[in-house]
Amino acid sequence: MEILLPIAIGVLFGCGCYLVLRRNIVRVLLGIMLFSQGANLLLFAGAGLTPGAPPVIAGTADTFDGPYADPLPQALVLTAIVIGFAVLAFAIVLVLRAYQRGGSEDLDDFHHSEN
Amino acid sequence: MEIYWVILAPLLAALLAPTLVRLTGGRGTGLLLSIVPFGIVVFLLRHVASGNEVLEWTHAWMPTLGVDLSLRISGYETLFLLLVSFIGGLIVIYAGAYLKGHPQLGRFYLIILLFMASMLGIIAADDMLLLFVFWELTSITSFLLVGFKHTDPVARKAALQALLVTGGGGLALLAGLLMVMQITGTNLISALPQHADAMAASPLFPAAFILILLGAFTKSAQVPFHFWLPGAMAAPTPVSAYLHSATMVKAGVILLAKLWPSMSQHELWTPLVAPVGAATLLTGAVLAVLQTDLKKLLAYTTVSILGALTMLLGFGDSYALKTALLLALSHGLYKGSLFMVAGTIDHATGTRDVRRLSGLLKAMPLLAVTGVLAALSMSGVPPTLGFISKELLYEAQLEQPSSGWLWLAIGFVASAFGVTVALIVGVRPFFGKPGAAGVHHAPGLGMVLPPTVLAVLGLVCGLLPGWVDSALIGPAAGSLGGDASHPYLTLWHGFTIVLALSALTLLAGYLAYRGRERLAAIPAALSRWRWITPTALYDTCLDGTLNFAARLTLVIQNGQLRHYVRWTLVVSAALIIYAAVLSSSTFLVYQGQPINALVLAVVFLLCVTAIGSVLVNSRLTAILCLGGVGYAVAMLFAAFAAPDLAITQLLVETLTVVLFSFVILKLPEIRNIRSRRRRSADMAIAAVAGLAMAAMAWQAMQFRAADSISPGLVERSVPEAFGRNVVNVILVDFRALDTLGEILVLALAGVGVVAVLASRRRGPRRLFQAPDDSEAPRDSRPHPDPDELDTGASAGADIDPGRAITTEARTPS
Repeated sequence: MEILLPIAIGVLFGCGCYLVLRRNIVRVLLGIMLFSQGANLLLFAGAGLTPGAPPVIAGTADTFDGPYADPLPQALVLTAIVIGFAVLAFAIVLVLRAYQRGGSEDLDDFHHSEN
Repeated sequence: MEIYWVILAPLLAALLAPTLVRLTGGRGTGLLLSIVPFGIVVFLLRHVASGNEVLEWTHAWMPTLGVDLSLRISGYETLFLLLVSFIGGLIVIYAGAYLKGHPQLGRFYLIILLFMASMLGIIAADDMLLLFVFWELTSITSFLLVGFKHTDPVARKAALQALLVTGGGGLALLAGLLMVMQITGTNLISALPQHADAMAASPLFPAAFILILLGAFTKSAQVPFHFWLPGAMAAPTPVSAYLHSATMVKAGVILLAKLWPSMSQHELWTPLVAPVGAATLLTGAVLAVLQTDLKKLLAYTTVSILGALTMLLGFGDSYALKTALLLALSHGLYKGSLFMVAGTIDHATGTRDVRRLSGLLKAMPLLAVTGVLAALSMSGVPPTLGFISKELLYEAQLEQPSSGWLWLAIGFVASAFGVTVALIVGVRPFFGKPGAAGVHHAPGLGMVLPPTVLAVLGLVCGLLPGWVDSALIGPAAGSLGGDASHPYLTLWHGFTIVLALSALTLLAGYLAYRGRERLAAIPAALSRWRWITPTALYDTCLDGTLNFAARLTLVIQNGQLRHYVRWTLVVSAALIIYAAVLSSSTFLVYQGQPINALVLAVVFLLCVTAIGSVLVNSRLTAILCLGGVGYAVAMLFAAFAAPDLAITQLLVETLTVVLFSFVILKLPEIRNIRSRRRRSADMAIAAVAGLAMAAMAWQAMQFRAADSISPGLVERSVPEAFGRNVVNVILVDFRALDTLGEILVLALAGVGVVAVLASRRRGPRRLFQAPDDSEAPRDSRPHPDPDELDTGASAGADIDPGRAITTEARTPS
């Protein structure tokens, strides 16, 4: 079953790459979103997978009896999801403003307006 | 006094110098600062008088690498330290007069004293890496001093040339020294002779030796690297006198002498060193007589003498070693003096062209005496020190076991041309009818006395050869493992063939002087061969490198961000695939559980929506696709035992979709801007990058570099943090500060979003009111009236579909 995750990660990064290489700024934005999903999944999967054993200690015990999913990468990914959202929110608004001020969604027009 | 003060004192003086100049307004600063080098001279002379024992000082610098701050002063180091600090003191005084009232006098003192400290460091350093550090410091300070007149493009070019040539040699030197350290296991130069056998046996040694020679030859301007030295004459004359005749250019020779005890008996030493020296000796002398600029004349003879020193050291016998040491001393005295004389003439008359200078005797009598005295020493007329060193030079060449007459012939031609140059520089400007260039203002004592002191010292040393021998040259040769007492320095060696040669040299030099007009015609005749000279080759290489860099930059950094992204993606994907292929032994090993139908469906959904977000042109469909991707990822988290992640992802994804829906209606429909061909190329890149990431994920899932720290966190979760959800405990307890930072980022992003949105209302107004706004002419909105647009903009709330439509309407699709 684990082979499915690398496939998902590959598809997310591949689509993200293609979109980031576009001239249309909206597409670039979509690409960044796919990238961050792919990065989160990669970090999560890279720690190894333990389906069916969430890192929550049972009510009476002090620690786990059997195998458990590694909690540390989960904590890292959780932080990454939230920060990714913050960055994305800012990026979305920035793209909107850039489009409204520049009047074009073509990144090459942005480049010329710098000069 | 600890010997590190020899280096530390000028260093401190350098740092104080700018403040000192500001306080005194430059008056007398030179005199005040010269206390430091003269203090070092007094210390060294007392050391010589008290028996000249070896002084050592070591302080641990990088103990794990075995690199120490090791200084060592034996007889040899004493000689050169004396030369550098004494001439340095005179130069500091001279520069004070030469650059009187210059607005950047403080900067000048700072750099030249820094240079003095590094030069003294090269001489005193015993650790090879420490020597290298000082070596590079002299290159850098030389760069700054050559380019001191930084508004002059010629000076800037010369500075860069000097830096590139000596700096490049410095890199070779570092590699060579590191290899020697590896071969011998020591980094102390004084310990190298014990390892001579190891060096002789090592197959690495020839390469190391050649690298070290490259460093020494570039620094000491040996053929074919000699061209930077005449260029460096763009520096102010005090710099030329100090760095480019008496001290820095001798660093290569100093290094060769330091290595003489350990390497001179190696079979490669003489064949590699002596011929280069002889070629330089001849080239420098021949090029010198073709010049008409006072400083260029001196510069090329300096090249010639540097060649002589290299050749003498290259002979590898004790007689030649002692001769080299004496020649270094006598050359430092007369050449430093002549350079300062040339500078004073330049300062007083405004020209350095020898064809326009004559009859200056009346205006500058003392300078004339100095010039003649230094010229006598340079020509090797008894009873100057130059005479003794030239006699020994001929003798050393004659004593060579093979082709002694060839060496002698080269030495004779070079010495004769040396006499010619001495006459042109030191004698001719002062005699005859007053020339085209008159004296604007008589030079002060500060510009006459320093060269006079040096010239007189050359005479005094010549008259007291016994003292020079027993106090300086003898111990120096002895400390390098040569014979301290042979040859005995004396003015009179009897009627020998060498004495006859000396007389002949003077005659030949005088004859060349008479015929110098005919010599001056030669450069024009040779001008069509100019492209083959080292200078031209240097220029070609430099231009080629710059052109190549410019073209490469144009290809990989054309100013479009996505172009950079493309290169980054391609390179990283290539590296990942390369690494995956390298570790292919563990590829596809992972034995997991059977595929669960639910997970398969989720991954399928994820792939479909992700690809969908690439293909669609509708904004709304794109949002839906992205939402699908986000929820699929959340379900994956849930399926693989991460409930917290799943919940967070669901919430964040919902928020994102909401935010995006607000915004995207104001953005145009997505259209394809690039050509189909370009899109297919990018698709290929993206496919490869995706494959690479998938491979990396697969490898990462199986690879464990170290034990996880999670068990420790899990153990402490309940007893210490009283939490059963370990992920939460990590976030709010073990890594609480991280989470605080994360909240801060969220808050900042929120502030940013609000700020950007709030600036919206005033945005268009500013755009149209600013008369010089570059965007205004480009704007082809259908509402050119500012007032109308202003009302429209201020009426528009955060969502304004009408405006979105108008902007779309004028977007070409």
